[in-house]
Amino acid sequence: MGAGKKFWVGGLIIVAALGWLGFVGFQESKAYYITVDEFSSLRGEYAGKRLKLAGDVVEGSIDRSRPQMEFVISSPRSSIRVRYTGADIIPDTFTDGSKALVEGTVAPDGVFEARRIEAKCASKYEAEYDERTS
Amino acid sequence: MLWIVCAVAVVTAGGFVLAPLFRETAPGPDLEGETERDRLLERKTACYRNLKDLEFQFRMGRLLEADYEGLRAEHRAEAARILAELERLGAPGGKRAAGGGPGGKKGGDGTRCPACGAAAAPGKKFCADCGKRL
Amino acid sequence: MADFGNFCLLLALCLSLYALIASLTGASLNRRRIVSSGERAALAASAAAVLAFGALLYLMLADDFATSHVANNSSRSLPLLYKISAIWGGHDGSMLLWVFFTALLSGLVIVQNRRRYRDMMPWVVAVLMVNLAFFLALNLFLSNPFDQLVRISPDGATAPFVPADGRGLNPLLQYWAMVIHPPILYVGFIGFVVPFAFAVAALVTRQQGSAWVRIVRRWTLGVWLLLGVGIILGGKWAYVVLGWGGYWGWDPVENASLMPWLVSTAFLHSIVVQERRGMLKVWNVILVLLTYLLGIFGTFLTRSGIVNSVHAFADSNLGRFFVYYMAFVLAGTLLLLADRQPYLRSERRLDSMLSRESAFLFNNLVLVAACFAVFWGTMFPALSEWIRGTQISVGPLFFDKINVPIGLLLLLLTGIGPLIAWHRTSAAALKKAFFRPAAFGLLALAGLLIGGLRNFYVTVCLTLCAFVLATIVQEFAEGALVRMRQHGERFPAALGRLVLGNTRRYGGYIVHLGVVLMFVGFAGNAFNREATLHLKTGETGRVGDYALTLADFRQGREALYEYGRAVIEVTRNGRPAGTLTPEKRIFDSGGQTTTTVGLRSTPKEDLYVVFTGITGDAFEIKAHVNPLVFWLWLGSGILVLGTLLTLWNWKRSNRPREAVR
Ligand code: HEM
Repeated sequence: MGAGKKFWVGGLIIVAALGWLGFVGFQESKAYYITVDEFSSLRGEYAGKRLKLAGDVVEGSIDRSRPQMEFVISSPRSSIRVRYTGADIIPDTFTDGSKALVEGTVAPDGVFEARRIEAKCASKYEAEYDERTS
Repeated sequence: MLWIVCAVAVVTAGGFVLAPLFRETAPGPDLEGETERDRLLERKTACYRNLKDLEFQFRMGRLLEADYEGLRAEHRAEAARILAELERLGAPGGKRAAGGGPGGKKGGDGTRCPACGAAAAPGKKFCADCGKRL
Repeated sequence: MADFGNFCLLLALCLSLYALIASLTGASLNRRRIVSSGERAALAASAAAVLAFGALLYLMLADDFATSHVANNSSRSLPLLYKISAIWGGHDGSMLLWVFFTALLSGLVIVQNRRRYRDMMPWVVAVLMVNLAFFLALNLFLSNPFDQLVRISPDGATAPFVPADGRGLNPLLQYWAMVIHPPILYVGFIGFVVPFAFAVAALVTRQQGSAWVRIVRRWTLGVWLLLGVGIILGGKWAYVVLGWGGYWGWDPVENASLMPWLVSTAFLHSIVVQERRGMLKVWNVILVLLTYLLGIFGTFLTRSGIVNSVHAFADSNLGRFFVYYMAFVLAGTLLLLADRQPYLRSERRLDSMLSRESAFLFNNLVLVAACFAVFWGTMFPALSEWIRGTQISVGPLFFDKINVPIGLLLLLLTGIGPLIAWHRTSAAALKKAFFRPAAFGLLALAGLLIGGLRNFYVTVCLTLCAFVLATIVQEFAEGALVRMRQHGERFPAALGRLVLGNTRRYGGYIVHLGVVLMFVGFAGNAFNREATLHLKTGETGRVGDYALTLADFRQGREALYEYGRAVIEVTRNGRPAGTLTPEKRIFDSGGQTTTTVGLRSTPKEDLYVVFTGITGDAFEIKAHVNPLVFWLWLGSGILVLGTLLTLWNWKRSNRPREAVR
């Protein structure tokens, strides 16, 4: 067998092994990325699956007095209560009114248990001047 | 005010850009590409460098005597081939040989590079062999 | 001034288009005059673009809030430094910064090579100008930083509008690393246009020698260095400013900068194979093309962050043009490549599996695989939405699972590659070369196991680090020994001459040393510990070996923000270990909060403390113990020094030919 062929065989083995690892990692960490509205209308379909929910943090809903922080996120038509069970620090951008992405699953009591929170700056900050057109 | 500045900028840029088009003698060096000879010279350099490297690796004990001998013979054969090619082109093969050749080099008015001794074509600013400023 | 800025952009665009046409015509007709005119136009275009940047700088410093970019990103009270960095605090200004750097680089290339590579330069200029014109057009027509604010009355009439003060710069960006991070990263992205331009020019003019490879290598190394520094600064910023306890989170924006780095690292190695052995010519063109495209992609992503959805990407006006442009470049280069196939035939075949060539091939395979994995993970949400209609995202776990083994494989290869000779090596010679490093690695392994280490990946990683470290030391020591024998030099002199005589190689090995140390830092990740403490003043909590006592809590005001600062006395195993003062700041403009972490860094571990808020009557403190992070920063410093060494003291034989033949 020529060295060129050997390289291809060796390469293929490596790539196959990595592909398999990638597949496993994918299965373990994939999450469906949906909005709160989509979730509410298709509750059954997403039961038990890892989800990444996108919505706005409802003003005044953040409750830090419990051992695990709770808050409510909403999209135009529906909302859901979220309990943060993760260990990571909550990002600075997470405040009343910010856009949040919570990743986790729905607990038996109907509360969404989030293990990760990502937040975009409150839209207030990002918004451009209304007057702007040109 | 703005208009004046802009007009001045346009005129300056235009003059700067279009000037070469109206020059008597074409400006700057010509557009020649690599010649066969350049390529061979380069391969010669690379081959010598590889040979030197090979020797060093051998001294470091990275190669066994037998491997070293074999590879060295291969390199030498290649160097010889390149030199023969250069000879055929009538160009200087080694550092001391003189004269330009059909490879496109007009040399031969007696100017020599102070660094490596190769003949240099008249009017050239750099040595074709080693790149030193003449 | 804003009008002047627009004028400069327009002038630069016209000049760059003229330069493009003149270069192409001049090169096809072989007319020196036209080529020369084209080169001058390219220089003038660069100058005009630089002036446009100057205009925006002026507007920033003059607090001209009629200009929307200034109003949105700056404010009167902002310190001077941040007024400058506010230029790239928003999208439009970043675009102008890209133009600025593209122009500078293009001008530099043209001046640098005004007497060299004459046959290639018109084509190089043409590629550079396509690139510059693209960014200029985006800047002018889609994302113009000189746009003025207007107020629209109910009846539809518009009138200029000048707010009293600007919105200010996002406080998260008010940090020294964030001032220099974007410019460095952008050069690291855009700079790859130069190697790409040379590769295209070499293809067009059918270069067969490797003269052009040298200049490409040099540029690639320089740009690669900046990209690396940019990535590291980004990590530092995330660690110290974002305060979530880590430096890397597989965030799309981070990934976007990692991808071109991986491919260009592959390119740096495979280009050596082409230079020395005349192999891998097609592959190298593909790598440099990919690096350039990923750089363009990264430039866009770092600014917009749009990646979660194809729609968001392709529908954003700007994104659509990026897609068109990348498709155009990709198709153009591949067509050219297909047409030039016969000129790119390999001069040699792979002789043996046990050869430097083959080690380099595996290095390339692994690096490209890593890039592909990162790309796949980053783009999966977009791809799945496009194909199946639902967005599926993958988490950090996916990236870790696949990239940790890839990293270890890379580390192993970093040890093996330099020990194998070119062409072929016999097993007996390999045994000799590998004996000591392998023995040292095994010794380290034994030590780790006796020390009680059980984590598989970490054990493998640290063992490999020891192995690679030993190969590097051996390489330096044996090289010096040869010189001592040959020239009768003493060891220090021999070592010095050895390194200076081939800065390229030994600089490369020092870079590898930096990589090894960085891997030591990565390994520490597995042992991160953290604790959430709820402390009242005077109370003590523990994490790892540390006891943290909340001595005091202070509140106050600074010019731009209010702060709450916890004063924490730290003891380690009973001995005092300093005071940390993590802070939370609330900025006046926008109500944005930022975190300032308290950090105590030692080679063994970092104690990293964040004050997260007040719960009831207790203060909440998150404390992390992150082992070995120190080595990551040290390793990256060494990586930078090593790269500078490879760039420095170019020996004559490595220097691009000053050829007017
Ligand atoms: C992330 C990992 C790596 C980084 C950042 C890295 C970086 C570098 C750099 C910057 C150079 C100098 C290149 C030049 O001067 O053109 C270099 C040289 C070199 N690298 Fe790596 N490298 C890595 C992994 C590897 C691997 C896996 C191999 C195994 C094949 C390898 C083998 C070499 C060799 C043999 C040289 C010396 C080339 C010469 O003789 O000029 N490197 N490396």
